[in-house]
Amino acid sequence: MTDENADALKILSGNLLTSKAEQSAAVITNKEITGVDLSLLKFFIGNHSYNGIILCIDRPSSFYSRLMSENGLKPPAVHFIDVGFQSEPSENVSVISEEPGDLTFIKIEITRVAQRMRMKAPDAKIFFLNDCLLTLLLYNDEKVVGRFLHELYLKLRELNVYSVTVLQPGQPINAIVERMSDRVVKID
Amino acid sequence: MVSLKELLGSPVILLALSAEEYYQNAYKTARELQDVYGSLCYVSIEKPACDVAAELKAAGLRANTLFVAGPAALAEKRRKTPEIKCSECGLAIVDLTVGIFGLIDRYHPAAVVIEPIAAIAKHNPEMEAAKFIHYLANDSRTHKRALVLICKKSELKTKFVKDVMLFVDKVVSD
Repeated sequence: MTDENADALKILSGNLLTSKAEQSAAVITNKEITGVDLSLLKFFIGNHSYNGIILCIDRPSSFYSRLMSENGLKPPAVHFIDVGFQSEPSENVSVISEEPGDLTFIKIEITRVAQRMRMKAPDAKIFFLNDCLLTLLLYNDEKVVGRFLHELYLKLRELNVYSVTVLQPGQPINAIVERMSDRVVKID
Repeated sequence: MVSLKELLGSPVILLALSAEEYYQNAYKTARELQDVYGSLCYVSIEKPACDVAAELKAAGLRANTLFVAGPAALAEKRRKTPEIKCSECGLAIVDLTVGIFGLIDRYHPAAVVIEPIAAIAKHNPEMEAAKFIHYLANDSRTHKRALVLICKKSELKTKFVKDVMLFVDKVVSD
């Protein structure tokens, strides 16, 4: 882990999961996204033993699997939702072959996976990682993506799943996501 | 009335029923499907789940392999059928997802009936409702589960039901 990632992990540790009521966070960063992803995975999986749901739009599930195994992260359970990749579906990989503009399929799949994980382990800690908001905005306008996130995150709250959205500074959609998030953390 | 033969052999079917005796025919179809497939998930979009559970039981469906999803009833009007697993849910797509797939993923019914499908489009944008049906149809085929979508005959000409026809394997009318 680089010094930069270690610093990011320190910031996350000081700012997230500070109250039991907290169920969502926006992480605003201008750092390399994969480094921030690693810090988030280390924080939730390594430090706090969370199970995870990862939306994979910019990189396939195999990338995150490798990232975790290379860094010694062995989560109890992680489910990947690959969108637009030619991955092989498996017990922990759902594949949505449609383009990332199809928010309905993505929303249904994330909700279903979250509920299934909750049914399997009613007391488990589960987080949802969305690091591909800007890509969703390439295919849909801001209002549509904002409504999608709002509906999805409300449902994830009901299922007691912690939502994490990674944002880049200065994006118009940030205001919407920050309002929906219980914590806003900046990693500069 | 539609013969049972017409409902077998194709995984995803759209069944159009006359408005007269609509529920009687829908419940009769459900009973026949339960007899053939063994277990059945019945999704009611317009009537509360607990009311439909009681009505299906009265129509002769076996409670131990019947699972019902649908809107919640007012507490004081709730009909009690504790022997039937019910999932009360809202009608937005995410709520239907939780309600329906909560039963499917937990109990693995061999067949699913949803009625009336046009009502899903009344509570959601039409495109989203159509994609939800599309997702259900794909999932049913993948898991070799029968899916019977019921609409009223008068709804066959609506744009939404015409869209749904694109995803089904067969359209049957009474």
